[in-house]
Amino acid sequence: MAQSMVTTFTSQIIVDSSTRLKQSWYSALITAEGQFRQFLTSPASQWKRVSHTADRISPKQKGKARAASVPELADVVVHRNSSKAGEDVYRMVLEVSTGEEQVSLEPWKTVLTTAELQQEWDPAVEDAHLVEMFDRNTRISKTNYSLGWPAKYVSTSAFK
Amino acid sequence: MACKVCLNVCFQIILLITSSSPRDSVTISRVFSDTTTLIDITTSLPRSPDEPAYLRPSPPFVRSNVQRTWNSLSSILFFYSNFVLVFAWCIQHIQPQPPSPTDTKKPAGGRLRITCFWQHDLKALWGFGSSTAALAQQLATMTLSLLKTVIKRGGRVPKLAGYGNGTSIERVRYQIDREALTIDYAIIPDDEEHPELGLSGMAEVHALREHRRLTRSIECVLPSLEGWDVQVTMKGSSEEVESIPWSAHAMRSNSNPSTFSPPDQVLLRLTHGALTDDDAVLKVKVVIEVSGGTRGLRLNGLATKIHDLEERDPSSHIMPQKMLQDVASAADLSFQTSSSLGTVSTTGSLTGARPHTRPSPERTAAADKSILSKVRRNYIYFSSLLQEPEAKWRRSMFYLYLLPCF
Repeated sequence: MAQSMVTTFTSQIIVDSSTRLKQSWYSALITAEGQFRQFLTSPASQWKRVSHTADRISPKQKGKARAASVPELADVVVHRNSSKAGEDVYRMVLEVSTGEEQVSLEPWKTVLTTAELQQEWDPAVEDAHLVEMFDRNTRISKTNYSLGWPAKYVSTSAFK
Repeated sequence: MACKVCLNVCFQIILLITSSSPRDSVTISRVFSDTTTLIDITTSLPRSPDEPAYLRPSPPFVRSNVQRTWNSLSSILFFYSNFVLVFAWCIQHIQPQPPSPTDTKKPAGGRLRITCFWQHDLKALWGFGSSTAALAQQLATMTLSLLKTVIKRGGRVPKLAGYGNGTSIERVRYQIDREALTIDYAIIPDDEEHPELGLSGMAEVHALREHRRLTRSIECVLPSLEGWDVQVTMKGSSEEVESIPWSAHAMRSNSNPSTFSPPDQVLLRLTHGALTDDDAVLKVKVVIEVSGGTRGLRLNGLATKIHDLEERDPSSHIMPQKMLQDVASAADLSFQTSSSLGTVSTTGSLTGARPHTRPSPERTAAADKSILSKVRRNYIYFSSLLQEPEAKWRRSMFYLYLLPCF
């Protein structure tokens, strides 16, 4: 009797600490979602354009020189929001024309949720993998950054 | 005093180590989507003494060195691993506006807008401010690279789309070189409901329903009708467990249920029979690979029929209402700050970007909540009745219907 009570008590503690842990992870996510919404709705005046390509040609010339459908680095518009001291937020926007075609967002979902693919698109990342499926739409991942990042991120040409 | 000096020295050593060692992060991410908008938000996991061992840092990555060598300092250093504040992607398909009678111009085509918000705690980590131009260059490269990866791989990477009660997902790996997805999972004795945290209302009911629909099952999306090779291997706690019947069901479906275009993907569902006793475990490994040349689906080497389109419940898309409204309003705002450097045309058609929004209900939030919790309890009760073994249903139990269920 006493034995079983102890067992129940111990398993209760384990359940509690695991639930508490999941709750704390989950609330971190909620905070980030709140931040995201704040970024979305923050006034335009807080976002300052950041120039990022040195050999920029004027947009007009560019339009003539290349096919409009092939995006390139200069098409990515970068803004920075420094309204909170020490917490710079960067915003990248890229628009691509899709014409009359039906567009499915499924490939985007697949690429963004497959941790191993991050090394292909994020120059800072050496490798990444899923450590736990938290639930159907939520995942815990481990990311290893390239040696020296971001101290050496100046040499972006190395990632091309 | 001595302690203070010691701390200081340790701290300097740590700073030295952190600047020269590789770095890692453990993050939590959640994806939301409907047919026109996809949002993926990532942030670092808060450190906790309760965290499972597999989340603890491993060499040569920095969190590890710091944690193991200077355990007493670990509280000071918690923030080191906490540095991904927000890393979010928002992909919007902005549909062409229907031409108005007064508009003589040709209607503009649809567009895809890719927005990324990136906020890392660089100052706390490296003690120096970031070089804006270089970082901006890197982030722009990242954004363009994501687009390129989606174009290159989006149609070739399978993914785990769902699983249900009695299924425990143990490991999911994608091998880029082999183009193979490996899913290890276990069929375990019926576990209780594990609803997703933070869902409410219909989203929660839907999640519960999905967990039931996929009882002892997994469901994968194979993103094209080209050829696929699927290998399923099983290892049970006994021979009896290994001989429990299982089945595979493949069907064509459409990745965007709101369109009438032909199916463009295969949904593969694997379902296992119930375990014989409470101590039994069945371990399953599934490898899904793009097969060279041949069309169709092969399961353990045998050609398998792909059934025709099955209606999917559009409510499987979850997207918090508030978030959608913000995305909708941001579609109008985003480009107002574009300076003359702008290379992306900002036209009036931006206002055409309106993801679907539902009218907000007139009930109070509290009333809503109470109705929804009632629905949920009823649903759980109802579905538990459905699962009662046949033997429990006797004629004499008719009074059970009269018992209040909530």
